[in-house]
Amino acid sequence: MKASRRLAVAVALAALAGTAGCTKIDDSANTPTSSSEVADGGTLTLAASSPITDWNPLSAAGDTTGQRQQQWPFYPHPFLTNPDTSVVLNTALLESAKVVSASPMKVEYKIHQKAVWSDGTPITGKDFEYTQAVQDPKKCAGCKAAFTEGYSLITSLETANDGKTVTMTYSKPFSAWQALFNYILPAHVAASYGDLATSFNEGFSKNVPKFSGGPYVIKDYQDGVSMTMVKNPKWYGEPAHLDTITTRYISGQGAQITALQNGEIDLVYQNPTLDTVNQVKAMNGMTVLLGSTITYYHLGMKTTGDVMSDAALRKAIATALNLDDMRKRTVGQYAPDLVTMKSSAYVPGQKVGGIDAYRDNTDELNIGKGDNKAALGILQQAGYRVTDGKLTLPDGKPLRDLKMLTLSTDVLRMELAQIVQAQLKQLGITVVIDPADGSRYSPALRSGSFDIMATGTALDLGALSLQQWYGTNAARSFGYSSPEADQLFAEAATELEPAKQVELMNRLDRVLLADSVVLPLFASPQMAVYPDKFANIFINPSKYGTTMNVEQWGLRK
Amino acid sequence: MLRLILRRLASAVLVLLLASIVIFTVISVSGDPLAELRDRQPPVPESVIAAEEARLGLNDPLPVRYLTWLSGVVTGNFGPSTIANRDIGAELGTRVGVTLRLVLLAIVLALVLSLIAGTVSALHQRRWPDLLMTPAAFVLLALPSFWLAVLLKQWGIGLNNLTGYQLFYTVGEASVPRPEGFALVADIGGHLVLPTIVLALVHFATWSRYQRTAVAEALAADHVRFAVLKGLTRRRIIRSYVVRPALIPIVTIVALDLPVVFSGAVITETVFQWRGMGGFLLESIALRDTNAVLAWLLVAATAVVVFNLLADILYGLVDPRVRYAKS
Repeated sequence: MKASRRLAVAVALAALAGTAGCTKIDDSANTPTSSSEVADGGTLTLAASSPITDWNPLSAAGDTTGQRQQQWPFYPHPFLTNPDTSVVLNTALLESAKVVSASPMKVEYKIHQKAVWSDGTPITGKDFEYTQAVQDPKKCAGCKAAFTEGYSLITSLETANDGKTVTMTYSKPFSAWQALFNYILPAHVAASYGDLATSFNEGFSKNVPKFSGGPYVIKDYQDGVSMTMVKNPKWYGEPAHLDTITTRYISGQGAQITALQNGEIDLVYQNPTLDTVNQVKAMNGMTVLLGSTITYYHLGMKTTGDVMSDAALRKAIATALNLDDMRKRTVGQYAPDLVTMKSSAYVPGQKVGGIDAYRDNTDELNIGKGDNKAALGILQQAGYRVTDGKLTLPDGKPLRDLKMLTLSTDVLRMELAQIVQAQLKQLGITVVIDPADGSRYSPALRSGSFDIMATGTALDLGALSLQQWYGTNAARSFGYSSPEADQLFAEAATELEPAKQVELMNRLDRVLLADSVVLPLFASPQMAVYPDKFANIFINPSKYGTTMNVEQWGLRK
Repeated sequence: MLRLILRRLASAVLVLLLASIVIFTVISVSGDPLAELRDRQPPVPESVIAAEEARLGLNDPLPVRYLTWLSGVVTGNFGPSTIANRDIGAELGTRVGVTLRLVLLAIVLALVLSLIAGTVSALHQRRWPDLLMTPAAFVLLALPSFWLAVLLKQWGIGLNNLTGYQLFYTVGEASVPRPEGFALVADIGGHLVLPTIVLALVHFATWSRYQRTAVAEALAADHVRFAVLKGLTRRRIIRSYVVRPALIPIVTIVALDLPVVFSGAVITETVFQWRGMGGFLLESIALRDTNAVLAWLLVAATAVVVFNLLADILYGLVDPRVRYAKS
């Protein structure tokens, strides 16, 4: 990776501190350092909650948060996400990647001549071709791929220039094209495993990779105990600094922090809680980074059923709830710089194509400010009345208790539910918390067995991220349907111009907010803790996590 | 004795069969093993979910699934896991070994300590050894093992900081990478000390109380009074007429408690991140991996049966009256 990338990371991190909520617990310790300040050599041990159960990061079983993060260092990736959420070209792998034609949409990737797999085989269009085929149900119906959107739109894939230039033609524009090919699988290794389905479902899934197209390669894997990586001798990017990186599998956040305290591991990367933040603050000689990701917490309201189908009731609830108070009383206790989100389409500070995408849309619609007076006005206008502290429907009957579905094991969501309960009481609405365990929560959510719920959404796929919840007949729509939103989803998903895409997404956001189907809360916080002797370890807002810049990690000079 | 063993084994098979039916039914209806897959963002293609349902046999009725599992077990196949790459049988084999290493050492330690403490306590009733050990045992009985484990971890870290050496470890069975030579012995010892102490102390508390009672009862027995009147030495009376008969109940209790120690290791293993049977069970429950939970149950239930048998055999060996009566 080049110096420009290092600079971009450093600048982006500084920007993130002011925008996406990177908290400096110890100013001197947390000042980001560029990679020129680290020495070569050394080892680092990081903790992971669970071992790898499927070695194919593109398979349905392998595409989980923990496995993606662990496998990032040994695959080539066309694009990287900076700490400030901007998506940049991976200049180690590619000379360029751009849309060369809008109609039909054609994307051209130019791969560096020097880019090779760890066995010396060049990384070429064949690898792109294989990676596309296994994620396109038309070409491989038996492949158990986690994600097929976009790949199935690719109608042709041509390679030239010794396979180093790849041009893909899409049947229709796909705005999230940069999110595709996030892991490129080696076609020559696949050929040794068998046909498409066999190689994808078994070859890559069951075998510990001996290959690497990234800065590190696996040296040793002890099932459920550890994974040890060493430098890939054929790595074609900026030289990696640490000689060895070991992942220790330690379930439980508390156990990870205790191990860090005892010097058994060097890095924990986890969702913070008040307890864990206080624990790490008490440790000496540790750098503690608190930041946020592009996954965010939000409340959702059902838009069908006997009472929730009334837009006035939903709007009154959205107006009466004080979202900033919810943030302050939950994550604000340990991550005070984390801001309240005012958009359900972008996280604060998020950039798309270099453009600031985030807008204060909830402010514009007077949503989530705890404005009880306005909320009561909306209700009264719709015929509701508050009698003896209880809200009655326009037909005079008392409003039934509203059910808030939440995950009983998730402390944060339980706290949010309790605050919602207290805040809506002032409107005369009784909220009953339904604390479901893991086995009941998901079926209840899917079947729409709730009135209000709290959950999280990752925004890495733009319009597609929201469409899964709010598109008509979408996988998780629980009844919401809006022709205007559907139209905007379709337009945003095919709009290739970043400025127009941002505009469409913000229009979409305002439609969803106005319909009170979603109430954004705050970006999901993330914490990285490591001894001061290490540098260049950052919180990465993407779902791929902190290992994205693993080659820059090192011992501080 | 042989007939007794055979009779016990026959009833054990029936118990195992019934237990497997109950557990299979309970786990199967307690949740969707593919829930995590169904909840993914972005959604996983329907075809993948359908393929997984077919692989796990979720489309079959419960009785069919149970019979498929049962016929597989007979041939050594524990059935498909929710994790496609998991070989339940092979993993269980590895994990049993890890747990046994921890449990056996803890049992030996707990047994030796409880025999000494219980005997000394009973021989010095209401004097300072008894006044010291009795409340200590009750405190240990009252302590939840997970809390004791966390407390010991912190003490271990404190000692490490105080000495400047890495004497105690809080994660796993050994360091990664494993040191070589004497350093490896020290490393394994450093990993073993804290979980062994936790597991041993919890059982020491119970067993030492049993031993104290048994010795106290033996001291008050007629044959001991007769031995005193005969003028035998105190040492001989205690060794032959007090401690030996007092071993009968403790040996039986320990043998019957072994499966409990085995399952008690679940907590200790979890706190100290040992990849043993405890972790296997918890992970399998979290994944709603019915076949894996059933496999664990089979091993645990077999352990109960075997240790019960062991208790009967040991009882016969320690107490000649049992042997003679049975013969």
